[in-house]
Amino acid sequence: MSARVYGVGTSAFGRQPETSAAELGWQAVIEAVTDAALEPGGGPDAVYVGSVLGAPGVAQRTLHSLGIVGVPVIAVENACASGTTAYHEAVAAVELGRYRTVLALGVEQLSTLYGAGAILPEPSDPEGRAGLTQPAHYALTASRYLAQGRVRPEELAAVAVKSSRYAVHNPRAQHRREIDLDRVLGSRMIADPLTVLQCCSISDGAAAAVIGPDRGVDRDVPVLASVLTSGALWDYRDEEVPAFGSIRATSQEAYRRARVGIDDVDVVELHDAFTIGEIVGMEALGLAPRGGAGALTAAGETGPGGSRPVNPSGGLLARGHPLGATGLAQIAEIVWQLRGEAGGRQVDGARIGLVETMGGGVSGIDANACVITLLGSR
Amino acid sequence: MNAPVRPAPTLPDPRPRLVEADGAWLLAGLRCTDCGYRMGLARPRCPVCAGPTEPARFGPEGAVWASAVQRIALPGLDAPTVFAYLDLDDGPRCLVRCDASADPERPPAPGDRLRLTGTSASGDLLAGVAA
Repeated sequence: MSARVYGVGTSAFGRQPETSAAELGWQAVIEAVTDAALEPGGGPDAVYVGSVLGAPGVAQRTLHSLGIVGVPVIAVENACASGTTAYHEAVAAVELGRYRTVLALGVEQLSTLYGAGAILPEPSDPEGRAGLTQPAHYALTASRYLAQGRVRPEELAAVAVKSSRYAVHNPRAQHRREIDLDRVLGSRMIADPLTVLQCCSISDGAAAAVIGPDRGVDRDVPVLASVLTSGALWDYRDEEVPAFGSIRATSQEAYRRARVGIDDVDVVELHDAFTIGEIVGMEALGLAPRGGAGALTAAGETGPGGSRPVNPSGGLLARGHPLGATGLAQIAEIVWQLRGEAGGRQVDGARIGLVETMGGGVSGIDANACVITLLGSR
Repeated sequence: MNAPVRPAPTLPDPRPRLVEADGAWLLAGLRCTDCGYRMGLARPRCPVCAGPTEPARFGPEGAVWASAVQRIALPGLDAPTVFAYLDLDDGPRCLVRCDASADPERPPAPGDRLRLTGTSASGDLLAGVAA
């Protein structure tokens, strides 16, 4: 592949009800474009924007204030994978020569939609109409995993503890406090076994990346592969937990296209909207054997100084999960890691990074969408 | 004088339907006549093989795939609520709300047998422990 990430930028993440979606987007775009050091008149030639629950027009409402007008603007929605879908499309556009320099932006303003508590389920969806929230949907997976002996409650909690240890080194993270197992397990139960500290919070934020062809700049980060899939039917024929199959299939294709394996990956940002999501994601990616992700986490191997660093940004749990922005926030973290710019959460010697985002919410399939991308140098 | 405001139409109900037959509650769904795929919801054709479908009834019993106790209340839904994915015998997988017989502190485990027990006032599928 020839695509490179020229620059990245993000807002801070967390409840920011006084800041509009457009203002959040400005912060991310200005930082990304500055970071990209584009030549005058060097673009962007097109913009892909991911956003999920906000008002129509959030893309243009953000961009025209920055003078980004007249170029194609394509809005995409793939639930929590919206930002990475925007990135994926930007990469594809560059690879195909459709556009030369492309801006990918993810933006979400949730705190003014949901004051506290869970996002209300979608009433046009069968499970949503029944009142099944996302925490409960993930709890179904967690309870099955517990019953199968594939994870223990304290191992689920260890995911949140680990992520908090990274997040204290992320000045943009929503939750910048270290928490311990007792606090996680003792926090309010939302959907058994997931306590509130095992669930991502309502969050606002934006993230952006500028992508273009190889221009011979060392600081630009190569894209090794980017794969987007939608989920398979999930029904009575499927003993597997939702999302596992999609993440596994998508990652296998990404490894094939990038000509790397999981053991070549130095740092991972994956979709941990709930602690069980990180456990399942790790196993689907091949970071841990089936039923082994919990032990690996509890042993500290995914945390600071560990052999399999996962979510050094603090992940969705601690960094925050403004739905449409998340995927590009993951991309930004990996770029910072690969450039050696991640400060106190830096993974030493990181050369290849992986981002996995899984969007859900449609019942009957194991995922709405999954995007996996590998970046860096082999 | 202001014109009367018409209430917005109710969103079509996407949930499966139950019917009562011979004293049992059954899920009214579809079966593909080509590949036998079982569906609990309306489909224009079989999503597996694109074949034609015929009406079929499933249940009343099945095995739990997993359950979850939702401990946050929503508008119109109290907490705790015990949900379960139920694989109906020779039927589709459907989401049920465990009825009043369920104990939120001892929710059904994978493999436990449940029986469809009707529809709630708000249209949710209900299930209880199978005899």
